[in-house]
Amino acid sequence: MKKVLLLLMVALANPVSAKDCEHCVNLPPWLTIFNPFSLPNVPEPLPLIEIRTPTLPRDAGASYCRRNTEVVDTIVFHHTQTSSTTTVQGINNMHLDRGSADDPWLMIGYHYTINSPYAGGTIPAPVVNQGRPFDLAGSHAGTNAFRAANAETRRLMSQEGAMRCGPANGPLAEAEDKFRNGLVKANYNTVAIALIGNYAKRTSENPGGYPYNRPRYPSQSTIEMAGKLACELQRKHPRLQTIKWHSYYNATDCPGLVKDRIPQIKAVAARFGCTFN
Amino acid sequence: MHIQLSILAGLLCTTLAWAQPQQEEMKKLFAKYDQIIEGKKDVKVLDVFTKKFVSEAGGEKSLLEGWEKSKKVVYDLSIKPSRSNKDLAYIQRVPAGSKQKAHSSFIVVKEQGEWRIEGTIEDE
Repeated sequence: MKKVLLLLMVALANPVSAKDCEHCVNLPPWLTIFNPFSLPNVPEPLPLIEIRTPTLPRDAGASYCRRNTEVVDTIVFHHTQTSSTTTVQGINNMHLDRGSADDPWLMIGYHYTINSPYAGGTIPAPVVNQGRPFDLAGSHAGTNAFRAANAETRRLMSQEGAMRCGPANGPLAEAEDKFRNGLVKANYNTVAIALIGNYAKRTSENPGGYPYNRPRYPSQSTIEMAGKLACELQRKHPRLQTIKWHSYYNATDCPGLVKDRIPQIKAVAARFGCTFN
Repeated sequence: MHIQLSILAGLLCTTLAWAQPQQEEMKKLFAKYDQIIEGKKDVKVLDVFTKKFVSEAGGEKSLLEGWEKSKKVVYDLSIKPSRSNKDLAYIQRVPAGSKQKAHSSFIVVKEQGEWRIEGTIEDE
């Protein structure tokens, strides 16, 4: 009992204040006045990055999958292979537009987009936008992409309610394609971050890519934003501990030279206390 | 009444056929595109790409530089008309006869009445 009282006195005598930590906020004083058993001002980290949440139109006729967010363990980086000034609304419009009446797309396939200038450029203004909500499976890794996942992800994924799919205006039913030969469907346990721009080389399939003698890497500000966003997502979803890229799942040039900068993106996340495989 | 409906239906079909990019038109556009890649001087860049795309690429000279050389391939074109804009379509190119999946689409738009390449977008 004495020890408990001693600890309580020490705690009350040393409250954590905003002065101790630039990312911390104080609880309002009335909370500690009226609740003597409350913890002394618990540091509440401020968001590392502002994530805008624009209202994006959806196709009401499209089907989608709602997931238990616990199953999400991997971030997948993409580039959009568009101009760097394309907006999240523009990508959403194109993804809606490219579906057909028989196979409509719900909305943008990525969960987050990052607009940022190329190295040496000044436009567009850096901004992170939410695309598809986190609790909806994305449409980005490849419909037929299945990869190994750890035992905990497989256990969570096998639970009833982990992934429920169906039409937007109808009932959802448990997805039947969560596994194939013991592998997990990549779109289900991943979250997609797309760097808006074109970081792949110029080829007959990619006229907007960089000339082979002038590689186009993401700028430092882009890497900072990507690392902070990854860390912010891990803070909210602690099972998110792996970073991959589109070409890990499919034979594609995406995300171009962004792939070479994954170690730097992880290093930025590490500065804020986040660790990724 | 029947005649009027038939005329209307006929007009609608004609309009749709006119509005959507035809395979032949696209084949011509991409034949010119391949010539640009090969460095043929007799094809004008602005006959293939939109002004916006050329400008974003840093101008005509910049756009003509740095193409990665690849084997000459015959492609099949898959055309997806836009659902909301009759002057916009998405084209996928895959080597003829292959089961390969395209991982990006060309965006083509009508500029001054002619189809031009406006850019690309990554696919799933």
